[in-house]
Amino acid sequence: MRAKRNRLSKKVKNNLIGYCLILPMVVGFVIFTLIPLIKTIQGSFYDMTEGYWDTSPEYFIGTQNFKVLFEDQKFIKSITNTLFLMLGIPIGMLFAFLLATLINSKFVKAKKPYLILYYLPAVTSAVAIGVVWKWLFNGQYGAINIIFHTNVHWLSDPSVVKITLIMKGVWGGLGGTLLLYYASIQNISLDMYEAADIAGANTIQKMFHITIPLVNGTSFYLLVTGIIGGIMAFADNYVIVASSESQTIVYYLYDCFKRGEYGLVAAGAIFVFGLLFVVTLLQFYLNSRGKKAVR
Amino acid sequence: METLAQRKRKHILGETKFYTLKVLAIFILVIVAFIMIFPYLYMLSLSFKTADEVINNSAVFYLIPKEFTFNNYITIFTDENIMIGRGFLNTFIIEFFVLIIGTFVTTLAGYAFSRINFFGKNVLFYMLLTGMMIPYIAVLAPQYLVFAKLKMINTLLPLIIPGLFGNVSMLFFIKQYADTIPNEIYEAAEINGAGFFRTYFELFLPLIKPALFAQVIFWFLGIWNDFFGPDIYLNKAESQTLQIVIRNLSTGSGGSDSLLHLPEVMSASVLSSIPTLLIYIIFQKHFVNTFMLSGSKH
Repeated sequence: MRAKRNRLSKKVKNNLIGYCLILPMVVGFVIFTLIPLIKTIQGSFYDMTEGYWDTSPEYFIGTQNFKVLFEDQKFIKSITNTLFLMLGIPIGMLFAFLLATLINSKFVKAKKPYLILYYLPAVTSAVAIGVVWKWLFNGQYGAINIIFHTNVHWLSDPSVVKITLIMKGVWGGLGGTLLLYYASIQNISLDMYEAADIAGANTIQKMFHITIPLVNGTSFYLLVTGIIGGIMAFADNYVIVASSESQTIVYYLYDCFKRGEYGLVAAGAIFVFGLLFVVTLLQFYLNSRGKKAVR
Repeated sequence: METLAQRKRKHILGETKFYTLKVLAIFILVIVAFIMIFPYLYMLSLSFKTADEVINNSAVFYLIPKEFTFNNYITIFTDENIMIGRGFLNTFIIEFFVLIIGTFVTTLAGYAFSRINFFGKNVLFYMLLTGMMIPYIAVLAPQYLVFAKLKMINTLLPLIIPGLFGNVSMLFFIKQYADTIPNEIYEAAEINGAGFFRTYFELFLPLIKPALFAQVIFWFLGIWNDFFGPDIYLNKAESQTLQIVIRNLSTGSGGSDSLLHLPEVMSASVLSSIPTLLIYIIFQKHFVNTFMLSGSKH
């Protein structure tokens, strides 16, 4: 009887200590994520264009904010811009994969220096490196135009600026993507390649029949995280270009925020959240299907 | 069956081919390495040029400055309109409070989620994780308006206070790491009658040190490089963080978006990059390990 009570009190004590220890983080989540999120969802149905957050009944406008957003050509443009910039994801993955196989090959002995150097942009701030890109690609004085004797308005020509941003994205993301591919390739058993050698497979065949299928999981992960990052893209555009021509969704909403149009920000944020939600669900679905297929 | 001569010939041929490919491979990797560091060289080079030199030679490209000067670095500290020293200080203040208190809070939660059985543990853990999925823009306006009501705009508080409540991705990695520590280690401590505090300080913290260390570095960099939050909350020069100072310098209101101030912008960028690059180079093993860990789980 006493032993039982002891166990019971220990359980209560454990619960108590557990809750105390996680309390700050849970409170932080409620204050800084949950409540603001609920307010944003609520606010997306109210008319708040004058910089006040007012959800009294007379300001209720139903889905008007969403309608305004999707009738605004600039918002639609920001969606297509965001999607266009995502082209950088497969391009970056391809480069990173090829370079990772190269670094991993028997031709390269000192592998570490490349892995370290390529990752440098990931630890530099978007601002510090952004201002450098801004001048490298300056149409008038930029080093790129001088070096290559070109006269391209990398940042002001609407048809080029997004390509410049994609290049920046690929450059900045290369190191991280490459590291993941490199790790993934290193995990592949050498026996596989030996077996392929015995069967007389050449390098290209080995790549397509062994390496690429076996790094599929990594490719999938990179694609999903790339898309999630792409949906929230903001910094490069803001620091380097700062024009509405290449504006992304979050940049558009940032402008709305600065104008105090909180209703539109809320509606747009719900849209962004919805996109992220769909991508995440899709990831879980495909992941579980992939696992079933393997079994 | 190959004859010996045939095999020998094949070997020699293979060797030439091997070296050609080797040279080609290294050539490609070095070119890419150059592309990766070129913007940094450009940044460094401009930061040591005088504004006159930059303006007079704007049509040619070269890296080594003709007149080597440190003046840009001095100017950004002494010019009252730039106040980069203030930017450093403000960034350090945020780092200091958030990293010390936030990390402590996160390790406490990490201990609880990894070591203690309490009701609703998994639900609560996954609830916190979903927080990572919610984009900042979706909580921005309500957060901003509350901070505005509390008269905290243009102070560092909106950037410090949320951090004091911990960091979910740090929590995730700590739990992940702590879960791999065998139970026996803790059981021995329990037999000796160690309570929660002793177990936490003398066992848990030392054991998770490698994972914790890497996460603290990541968080440090995240705060150092952050500029969305500071851009929203800090409009006054005295309260701006380093990144905002650089951005304002580069697009400044006084028409400084010109060649005249380019060397100053670049020296500010160099100074802001030095701490992060140093940390990265010294602790690069942690970066590589953590980064690979984050990908391999998926």
